[in-house]
Amino acid sequence: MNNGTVILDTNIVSYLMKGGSLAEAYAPHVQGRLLAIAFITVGEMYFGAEYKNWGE
Amino acid sequence: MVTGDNIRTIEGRLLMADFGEHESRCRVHPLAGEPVLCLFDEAQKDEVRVDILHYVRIVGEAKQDPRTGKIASIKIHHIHRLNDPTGEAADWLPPGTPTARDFWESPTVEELAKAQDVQPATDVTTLFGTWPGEVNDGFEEVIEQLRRSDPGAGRFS
Repeated sequence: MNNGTVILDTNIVSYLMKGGSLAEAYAPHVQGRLLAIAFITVGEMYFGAEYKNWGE
Repeated sequence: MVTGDNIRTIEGRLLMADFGEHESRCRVHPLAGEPVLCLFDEAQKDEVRVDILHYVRIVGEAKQDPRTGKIASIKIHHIHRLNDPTGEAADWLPPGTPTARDFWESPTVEELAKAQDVQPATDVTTLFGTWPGEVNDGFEEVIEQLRRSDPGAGRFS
């Protein structure tokens, strides 16, 4: 079931992936919807990974 | 029938059409090299209009810089729509893989999702706890700072 499409900004992606109170707050707004991210968010995720030295 | 001097043939993507009252022009961007200014008349406007964004072969009369030999413009005699050569390898790629051709097609978000086999989020809680870093790692603040930083400064500080 698709209740609409939502384009998530980068911080909402990180909130949802981290879990916790912010994830709980946003969850009802994205549940059942088609979720999309912009390519700039992909770039920012890579930037954050590089900045935080993930994988090292 | 093509008549006139210096008849040339170029292939490329037809872009930036300007349907002027007195003179109409467009640009043809070849796969390699600089775009070529092309001129067309009233009778060719509809043909140019339907071929905008598409890969075409242009046959026409060229004006060249006498010193460099570079084509300054081509007065279009014929336009032929061609298959897009940038998409020929797409059949060997995994479904949904973006190609150069996709850049020009402006699919909707829903069309992109279908091509990438993305389904609506039936249980968003499956995302919880998948973050590879620490919960309090300051990622959001770093991104906020990045967005406010001066891109001309050359580095993020």
